[in-house]
Amino acid sequence: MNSPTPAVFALLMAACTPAVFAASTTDVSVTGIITPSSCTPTLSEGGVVDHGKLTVKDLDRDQPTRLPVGEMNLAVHCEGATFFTLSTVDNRSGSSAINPVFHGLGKVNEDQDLGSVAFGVFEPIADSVPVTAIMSRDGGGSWGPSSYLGHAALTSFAAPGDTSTPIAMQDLSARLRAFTIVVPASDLTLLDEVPIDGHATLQLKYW
Amino acid sequence: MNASLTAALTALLIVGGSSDALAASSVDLTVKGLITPNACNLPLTEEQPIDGSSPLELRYL
Repeated sequence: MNSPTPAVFALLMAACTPAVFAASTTDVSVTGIITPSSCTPTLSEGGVVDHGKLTVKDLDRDQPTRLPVGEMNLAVHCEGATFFTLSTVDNRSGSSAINPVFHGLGKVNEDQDLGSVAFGVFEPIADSVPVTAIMSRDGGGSWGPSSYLGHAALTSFAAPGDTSTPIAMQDLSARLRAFTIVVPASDLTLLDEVPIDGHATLQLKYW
Repeated sequence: MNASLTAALTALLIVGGSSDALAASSVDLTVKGLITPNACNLPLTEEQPIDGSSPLELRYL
């Protein structure tokens, strides 16, 4: 058998070598986020506290009036043990009459703040174990025991023995209470029916 | 050692990621009711002696 000639080698190279006569490039990027697990918050009662109908006679004329405490169940379920924080967005921002860290109830006659509602989390249980609600007012830098739930701080949960560090949880349940306060009747001009109109968004962020 | 390490890592995670959480979900909270300026009274025009006790209740709709 004859050995291949240089011409045959050249043909083989041309047939088998990728075309490299010219080349250009373009970037292909695939982006996305892989989360450790997803978390979902739920509230019983549809997340609604309904104080019903009150008359002006139900309000103290000279002192703020505390309405009956509203209560519902808060549950958070994650697919796996996850660090998360709770906070709120006040959708009636700027109308909290009692304290700006609470939530507003809307305005009367366009310029009178009706009152405030404060939310708190109580009796938290994480993965079947009682835990302690904690709060951070510096974005998570430091934590301390508190039931506060609102837009002015982050809320998380810790082991009772160490309330300085949030813990990862898969399932959380707690009582969420709403403390509604209406300003003194003497501060309101009530010529017509006035709605109590508190609305907030409970936000759960997780890492 | 492990506890302090966990605390430090958690603080880093939350502080460092407070504006950049991996994910978030939310649910609405509503506080509602109605305050009416008019209160209704229940005057009785004359004494109505009845046997037993039956409180008369007025509810606003």
